[in-house]
Amino acid sequence: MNKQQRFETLKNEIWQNYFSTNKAQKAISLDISEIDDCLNGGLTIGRVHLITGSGYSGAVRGFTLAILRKVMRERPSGYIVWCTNLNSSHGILYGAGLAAIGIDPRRLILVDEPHPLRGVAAMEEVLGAARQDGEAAIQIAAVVGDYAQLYRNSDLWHKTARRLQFAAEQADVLVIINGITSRIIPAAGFESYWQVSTAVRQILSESNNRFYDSASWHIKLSRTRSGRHWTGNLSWQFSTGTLSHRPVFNSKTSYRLPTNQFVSHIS
Amino acid sequence: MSFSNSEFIYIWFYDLPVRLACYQKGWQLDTAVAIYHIVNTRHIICYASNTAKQAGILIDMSVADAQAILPTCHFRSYDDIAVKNWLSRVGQWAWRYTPLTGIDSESLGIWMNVTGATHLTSGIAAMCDALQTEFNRISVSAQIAAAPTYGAAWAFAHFSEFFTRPTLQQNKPIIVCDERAILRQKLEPLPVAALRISADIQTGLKQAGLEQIYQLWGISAISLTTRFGTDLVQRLGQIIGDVSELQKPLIIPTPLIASRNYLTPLLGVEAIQKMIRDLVSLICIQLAQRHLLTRYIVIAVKRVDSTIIRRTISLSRPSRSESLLHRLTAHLAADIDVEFGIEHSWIEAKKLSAGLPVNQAFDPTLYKDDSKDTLIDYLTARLGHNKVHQLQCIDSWQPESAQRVQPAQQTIRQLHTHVSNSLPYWQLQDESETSDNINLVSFSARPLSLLTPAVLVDVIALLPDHPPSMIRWRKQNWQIHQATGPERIGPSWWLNGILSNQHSDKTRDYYWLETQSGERLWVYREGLIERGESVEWFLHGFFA
Repeated sequence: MNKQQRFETLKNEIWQNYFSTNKAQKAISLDISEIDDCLNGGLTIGRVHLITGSGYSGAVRGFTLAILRKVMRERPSGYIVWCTNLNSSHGILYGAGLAAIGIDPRRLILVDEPHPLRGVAAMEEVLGAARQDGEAAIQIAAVVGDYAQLYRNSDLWHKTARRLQFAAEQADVLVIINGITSRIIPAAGFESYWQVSTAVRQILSESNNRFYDSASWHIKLSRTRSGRHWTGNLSWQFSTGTLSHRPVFNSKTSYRLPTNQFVSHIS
Repeated sequence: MSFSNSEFIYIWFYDLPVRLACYQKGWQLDTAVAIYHIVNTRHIICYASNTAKQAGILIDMSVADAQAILPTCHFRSYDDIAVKNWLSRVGQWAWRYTPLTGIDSESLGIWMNVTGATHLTSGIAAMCDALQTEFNRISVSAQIAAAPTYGAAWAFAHFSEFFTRPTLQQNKPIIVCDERAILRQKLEPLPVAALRISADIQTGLKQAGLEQIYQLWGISAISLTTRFGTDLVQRLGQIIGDVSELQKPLIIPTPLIASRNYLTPLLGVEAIQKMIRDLVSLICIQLAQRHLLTRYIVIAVKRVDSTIIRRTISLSRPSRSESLLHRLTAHLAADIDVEFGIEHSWIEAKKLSAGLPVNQAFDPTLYKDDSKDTLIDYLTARLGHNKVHQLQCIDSWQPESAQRVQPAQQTIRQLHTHVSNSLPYWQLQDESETSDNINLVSFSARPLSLLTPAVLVDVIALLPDHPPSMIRWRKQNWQIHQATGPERIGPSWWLNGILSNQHSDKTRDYYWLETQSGERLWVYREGLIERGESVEWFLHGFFA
C-alpha cells in the first residue's frame, strides 16, 4: 500500500468513525428536547463526556448519577464502574443515598485509584474488559472517572481525552469524566462538556416542600458536536428519574424555620 | 510404634485467646482482658490476662461478677475459629521441622511427631530451642515439652510448673526423652488432670483421695476400670507408651500442577502468551478430570538464570472455565520479564473445591448472572485486589457504620455463601410505589456523598436547639435558605467498651440544610443541650 492509498484508507476510517450517518450511534436521551437537539439525540454511547462543577457540593455527582440512572435503565444488565479516590475530601459515594435516588449500589463497582494518570489507565483497562474479542462480553453500562484535574497539563489532557475516546469507541460504552473545578477547562477531545452548579429548588407550596424528592442544578452545556450550546436550570425528580427544565429561581433571603419533621432512632 | 524410637513435641500457647484478642483489637498486652464463653446462657470467663487475674478476676467467674470487680476490663467472647486458624497456620509452619504435625485446639496447642527428624537440627534439644527462639521472636508465649509419647509431652507442657515456673517472656523447654523408668519417675508428681481425663473422672479420683499420678501406679487396672471406666486405664497406658495413640495430623492440601520444560529458552511475548494459554488449558483439563474447581491460580516461570517469577490470579468464586481463565491471564505475558528466556514453567491451582454438577432446575438463580463476577475477577486481576471495591450495607443506624467499602471479590464470596437479608436502607425506590415511597425517602434521606469522618464546622444558630442559619467551613460561608429536621440518632452505647474509638457516645441530631446558593448539606449537632452536654456541629455529607 503506497502513501496515497494509505492516506485514502485513513480518510475513509475517519469518515466512517466520526462523520458517517450510516453508523447508528446509540444515545441516551435526557428527555429535554432543547438539550437532546443540541446533542443530536442525547448523550452518545461510546463517547467521552466531561462534567465539571465548582466547590464542595453534590451537584456534579448528582447530575452524573442522574445520567447514570438513565443509562442503567437503557442497559439493565450492565454495571457502572466508577474510578475514583476513595479517600477524597469530597466524600465517598454512600449506598443508602444512592438507593434512595434509584441507583442500585450493587450495580456499582468502585475502583480506588487516587493518582489521576493511573486512574485513567484503570479506566482504559475497564473499557478493555468490555470489548468483545470473540469472548463472552462483560456488560459495562458506563465508566466514570474523577480525574478532570489532569487538565492542568494541557498536553496530557488532550492525550488522555483521545485515549479514552478511542477506548470508549472500542468498548461502545458511555464514559464520563468528572471534575471539581470552577474553571472552564479545554474540552476539545470530548463529546460534550457540562458545567454544573447547584441551584435553589423552587418550592411551590408547603405541601410540596419535601427536602429530598428532587434536586436542581444550573447547567451550562458549553460543548457539543453540533456546536450548539444550552444554559438553564434542570430539576431532577428522584421518584421518577426524570429531568425537567425549570425557570431560574432566586432564593429567598429570609431564613425559613424548620418544618415540623422529627424522626428519632434511639435504641 | 516402639517406645524407644518415638519423639513428640507439644507446644502449649497458654494465653493464646487473650493475645489474639489483644492483637485483633489493638490492646496492649498488659491490658486487663477476659475471654468468656457461654455455658447454659451464662457468660463464664475461661481465660484472663495476667493484669485481670491480678485484679481478682478468676477463671469460671461470671462476666457480671468480673465486671463488678474490674469495670475497666475488656471482655471478649472466645473466638474458636480464630484460635483454630492460628493454630493451623502454626502447624503448617512447623512442617519445616517434621511432616507430621497437628493441632489440639481444645488445649490450645500443636503437636509435632519428630521421630527420625531431630538429627536435622542436631538433636531434640536444639530443635526445642529453635522453636522457642522463633516464638520468642514473634512475642508468643509458648511452653514446649518433648517426650517419647504424645500424652507425656502434653502433660509436661501443661503442667510445667512442676518443673519450672513459667514466665511471660521466656519459658524453658522441658525435654524428657529418657528411659521408661525415668519417664515414669518424672510423671509421678503430676496431677491426675495431666492424664487428659474428663472432669467427672477427676472428681471421682479426688473423692477417692487419688490426686497425683504416682498414686495410680500401684492400683491394678481391673480395679481402676471397675471404678472409673476404661478411659483412665487407657490414658495411663498412653502416657507411659504401653498403649499406642493415634493423632490426626494436618493434611497438606496438594495443589494441582501442570508444568512444561523447554529445550531452548522461550523468548518473545507471543511465545509467552502461547505458553500461558497452554498451561491454562492443561490445568483446566486436570480440574475437569478430577471434578474440581479452583479459586486461586499461580503461574510461575523459571528463567535461564534460575530466577523464578510468579503471578497469581484469584477468582471471586470457584471455576474451571477455560475462557474465563484465558481472559484473566491474557495480560500476564506482558508482565513477565523473561530476559534471556524461560526454561521451565508451571501452573498451580489452589483453593480447590468440589465441582459437583448442579441441577439448575432446583435453583435457577444460582447461575443467573455471573457477568459481574467475571468483570470483578478481570478488574482485580488487572488492577489489583485492593483496588476494586463494592459498597456493602451494614445493619446499623449509625450512618458511617451503615456502609462498608470492601474488596469486591470478598463481597461476591459473601453473597455466594450467605443469604443476604433485606435491609431498610438499601431498599430501592420503586417507581410503581412512588406515592408511598416519597414519605419513606424524605424520612430516611441520606446523602450521595458521605464525609468519613465527619468534619467539624462553625455554625451560627438562632437558638441552641435550632438548625443552623449559617455554616462556615474551609473559608466558605453558607447562608442557610431552609432547613429540615432533626432526625435523632442515638449512640451505639452497647459498643462503647468495644469500639470506643469509632463511635461517639453522644446523641446526634441530623438536619438537612439547603444553602442560598443551592448546596444541600447533611449536618448534625452532637450532644444534647438539655442534658448539659457540650455541643459541636459536624458536616457529614452532600446531597445531589
